[in-house]
Amino acid sequence: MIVGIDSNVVILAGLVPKTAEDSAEQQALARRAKILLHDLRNHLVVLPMIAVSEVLVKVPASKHGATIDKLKQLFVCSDFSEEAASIAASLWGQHKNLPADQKYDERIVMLADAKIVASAKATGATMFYSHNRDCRTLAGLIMTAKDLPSGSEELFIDQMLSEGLEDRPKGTVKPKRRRSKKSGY
Amino acid sequence: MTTKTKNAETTFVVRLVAPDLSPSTIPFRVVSAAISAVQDLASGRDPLETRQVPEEKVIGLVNVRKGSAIYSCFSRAPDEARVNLRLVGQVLSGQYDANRIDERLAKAFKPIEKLSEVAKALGGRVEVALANQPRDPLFSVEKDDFSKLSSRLFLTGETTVIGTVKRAGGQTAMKCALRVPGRSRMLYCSVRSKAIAQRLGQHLYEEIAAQGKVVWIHSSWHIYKFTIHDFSQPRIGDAAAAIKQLRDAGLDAWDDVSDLDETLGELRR
Repeated sequence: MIVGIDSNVVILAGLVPKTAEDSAEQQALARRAKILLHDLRNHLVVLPMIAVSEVLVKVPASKHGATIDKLKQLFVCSDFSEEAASIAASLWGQHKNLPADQKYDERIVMLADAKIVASAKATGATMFYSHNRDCRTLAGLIMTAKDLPSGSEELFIDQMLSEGLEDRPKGTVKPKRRRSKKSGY
Repeated sequence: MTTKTKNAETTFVVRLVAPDLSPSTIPFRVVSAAISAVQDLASGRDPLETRQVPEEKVIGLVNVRKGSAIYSCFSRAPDEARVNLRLVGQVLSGQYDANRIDERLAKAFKPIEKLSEVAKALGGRVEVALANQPRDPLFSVEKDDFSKLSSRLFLTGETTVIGTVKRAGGQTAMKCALRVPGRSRMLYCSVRSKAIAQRLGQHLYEEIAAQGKVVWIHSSWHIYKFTIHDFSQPRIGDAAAAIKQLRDAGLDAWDDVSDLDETLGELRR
């Protein structure tokens, strides 16, 4: 299965909140984004180049090259192809048929999301992760769309995310609860 | 000259037509290429996917008379042969809805390309007609017909294809076969250089992201041809290490954003 991700997945995963005010909520989001990247660690993951430009928005220009280079080592940063252009245009049309409460407030926002989702689709993605509800609704028109995972089944996930994968015990999935045996006669 | 006793009923005829054409002057490889291509069209065989035409659909020659460039063919699956050949006629004449050209019909394009090459080699055309209507060909292929078809149905661009390497290498030309999710048939790719083909060979049965030049059937976005220019295998691996490397590269700048929700929302305005 080929998975696509939105820019907010990368931005949130790399976040170390500075202010105590935003810290708790942002730390929780950062954790969820890191769990997703951990779950996808052995997959080819698509981060469209249009989404890469969003990741770069707050990065100093002098560091753009290095950041892009690193992103391309981690993700398939596919360009906006002719096929993606066709898919994005079709998404625009399908968006019209969504119920009013699921439509974007601003068309220009929808078009940006459409291009990112379309790029992922054209590269073969059948699943797309975004922490943006509107983007998930749009992506859901042409593939499975999901939010960041709320947790992980891995027992030592927080240690793995903070310290890395080395020297971890092999069996790290939480054991299932066993039903107690009924006493027999 | 007496006609040989027929032991099989003719299904269709292949006629090679050119000015001053004489069968004795046609190289055998040209005859072979033309009849092989028509056999592929009649049987629906994808020459890239299936080594040989299935036994039950094989075409045989009957009534080959001295002095003619007409090859009467017998098919073991005559009904299917007639349907497939009629479809080819519709595609070539533009009667077939371009939006309905799908993966199934796309396998007819390579045999049509071959027939165009035969027509060019002859300086004439290749006609295919049903046995009971030999004067009314189902289709006729001339040297420019494949390029006309291409300009009508194909679109060239560049793209990234994710798939698993099944085969890589080649003698005269570098090739690679990828198993691409969502595609029923393997994607047989050209490879730009021997060096890339050798690298691909080191990643057999592994998933890759291949970048390169693509020819699509634009009505369906089915990939007709793909030439691999390069490929990569990006992986997140250790997520903690990956994130640290991204932060070191510049991603840590996002820590200074005071209103993250507002800023993330602004990205799409």
